[in-house]
Amino acid sequence: MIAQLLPLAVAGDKTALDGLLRHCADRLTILTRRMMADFRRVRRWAETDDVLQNALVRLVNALGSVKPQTSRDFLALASLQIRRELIDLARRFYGPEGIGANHDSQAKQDLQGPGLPDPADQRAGPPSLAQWTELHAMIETLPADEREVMGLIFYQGFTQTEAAEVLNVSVRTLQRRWHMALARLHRVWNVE
Amino acid sequence: MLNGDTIGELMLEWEAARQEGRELTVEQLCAACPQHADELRSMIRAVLKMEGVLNVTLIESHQGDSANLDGRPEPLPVIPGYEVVRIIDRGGMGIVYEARHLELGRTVAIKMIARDRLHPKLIFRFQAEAEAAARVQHPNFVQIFEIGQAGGQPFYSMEFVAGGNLAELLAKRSLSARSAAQMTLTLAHAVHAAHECGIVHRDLKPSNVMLTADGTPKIADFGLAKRLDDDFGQTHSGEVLGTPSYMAPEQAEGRKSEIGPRTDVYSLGAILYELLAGQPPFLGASPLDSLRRLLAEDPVAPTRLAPSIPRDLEAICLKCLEKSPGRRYDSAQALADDLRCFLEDRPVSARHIGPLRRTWKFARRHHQAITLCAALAVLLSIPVGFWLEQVYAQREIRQKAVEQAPTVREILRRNCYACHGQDVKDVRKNLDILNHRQLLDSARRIVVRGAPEDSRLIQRIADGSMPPEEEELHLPRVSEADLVILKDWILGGAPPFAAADAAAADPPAVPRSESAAAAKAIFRKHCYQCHKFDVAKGGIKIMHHRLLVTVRKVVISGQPDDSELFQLLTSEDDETRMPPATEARLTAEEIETIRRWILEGAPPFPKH
Repeated sequence: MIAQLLPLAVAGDKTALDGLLRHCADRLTILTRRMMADFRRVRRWAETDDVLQNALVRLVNALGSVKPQTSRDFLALASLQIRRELIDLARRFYGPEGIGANHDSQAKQDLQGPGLPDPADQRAGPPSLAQWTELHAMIETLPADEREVMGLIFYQGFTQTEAAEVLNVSVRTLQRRWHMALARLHRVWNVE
Repeated sequence: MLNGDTIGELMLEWEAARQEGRELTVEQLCAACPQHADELRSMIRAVLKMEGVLNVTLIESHQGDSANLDGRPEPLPVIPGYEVVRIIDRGGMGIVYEARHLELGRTVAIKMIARDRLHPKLIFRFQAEAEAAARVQHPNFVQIFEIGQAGGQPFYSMEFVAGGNLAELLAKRSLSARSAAQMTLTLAHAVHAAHECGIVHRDLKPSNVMLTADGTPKIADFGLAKRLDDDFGQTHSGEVLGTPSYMAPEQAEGRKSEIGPRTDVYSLGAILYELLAGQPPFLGASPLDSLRRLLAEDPVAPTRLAPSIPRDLEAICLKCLEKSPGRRYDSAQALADDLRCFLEDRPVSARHIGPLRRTWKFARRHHQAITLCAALAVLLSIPVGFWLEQVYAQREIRQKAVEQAPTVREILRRNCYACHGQDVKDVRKNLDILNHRQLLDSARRIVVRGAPEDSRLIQRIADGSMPPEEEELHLPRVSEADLVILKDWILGGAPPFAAADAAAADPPAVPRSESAAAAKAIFRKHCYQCHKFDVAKGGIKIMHHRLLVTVRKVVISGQPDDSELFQLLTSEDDETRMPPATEARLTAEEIETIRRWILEGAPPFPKH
């Protein structure tokens, strides 16, 4: 249980820290799958698991050297690293140099503009990879307390009770921050 | 901005109700304050919409994801013809059971995919790899008896080895240096046999080396090594992050194109290291620490951990553990040969004796002459050491060239022979590229000994004019790695090809491969229209062998499952599967043909 590992890791237990890093790696895996699930172009070029490997190595390298002072600090940093890896992954495949943006082997479908986003990605429903990138970036701009809740619930997969415990707030406060965060994201999302 | 507290309180009320499974309408919530109804409705919509986008809610956030990570106990399966007794081991992809073959009465081990990981792609891979493992017949591999299906779950049965594994043995006692060398030699022979079948294990480690009652090692899990492109569940990440001690750097970093026989050579070196030093090469405080050290540090010399280890054996071990695959033994057989040299007290190739050490040894053998020479050297200020170094460096270059000569011949045969020797009618400018004398003809300057940059062979390959562009659909271009070999060979004096090779009848430059011909026919029928030059532009030209295998690497020789082209043909996702839904799909037989073609090393397409 992650909540049990946190105090041990803070106290310097390497095995507990290892467990936390595994948890983060698993979360990155789950979120990457979710993000890539609806992105046809990238999946043509590389399976989710392939692109994940380097991100995982970087993540554990980045977090492995951290000496968390508090559970909260560690989780905030872990969420940040996960978020950045996800943005990197998305950009790598969808940015101007990304193979997902530039390949031309689906000639029939791409004749109208091989480098452009797939129109299907603009539809309602699961976000496109580009939208995921925006979403992660938007989360970065949330007020600190809401970003922290987002980090625990979304990036770390905590339950509301666990998250409230880590933040040392009531579940109601946590719910309030969650609602506020989502409302803010929704406003920007709709503008986008 | 939100109407602060009131809306916030109403949202909490709504949240409490939904978590209890009660449904409260906006009207009910705003019965006392209808002026907030619209705002509340917008807020709820926003929350629900974004929770949908993120695929997470406060109610289900934890349970949903952790279910993916938790392994559940698997009941013993029912397999016709066998009585399954117990679970022996549980790995990343499968579970191994002990079972009894009812008819033959023998105990076997049975491996199945874990029920919670059944997936069409995984099943396909499991079967393909079980077939591959079954092809490797070697006394030091756990033998596969049967491949089948039970209740929709594929399985295979194999030899049951009851003597524990090497990891368990090492936990109890250490081996002598000679025993360690003998053990590694046996494993290297076995691994080489597998490599010759086109199979790379990728998960060699002491716990995968089973021991029979008399101590004979048998490699297990062959062909089912936990792969980098496995579904990335708990076991996989656990493995990548958890047991990097025997894993080559290119594997740990996911550089899939570099994974090959030398990846297994690394693992054999890591096993030898542990046999000698009592611990794997990168033993960190935690598995993650080990991973970081694997990627960043060189291994500690085994003699620092156990000073009695023979230097030659240490050199062999460290050569296997080179970070760059190119600096390791180029095959498990080469490793075995060097281990044999060690066991027979002959010089080993791994031990690079530096110039100073050579001089010292020379001096010890000829101390009187050397005393005189040294005196002369001092008197005349002759840099003897430098001179010796030059001599030995030249000798090493020459020796390397001699070793590379057969490879050079193979490169020339593959890339140039079609135009320069295959058929009298096709021979251009009366040049037989495999005729060593013609190559070194001073008038032609095709190969200028010791001067690759002056050799027309190198110049023409480097400037892209050979093989000719118009032939590139049929003739493979010389790769960068091959070009380096050619240059080294010329630099070392372009020694002749081995006599036996020269005498051998030359096969056609592009050997006729039935599987390649069949694959080409399938590509032409199903894929060519979308992928021909004018349509595909910068994309994949499906009939272009070099583009597929060398440039774009969508086909990885011997590894259909790792080949993107094959993944697209077999994708379970209708949208991504190729050919697209608008075209005729490939039949199962056609897909199998493509798979076999890649498995056989993706030989070049026939010209016609």
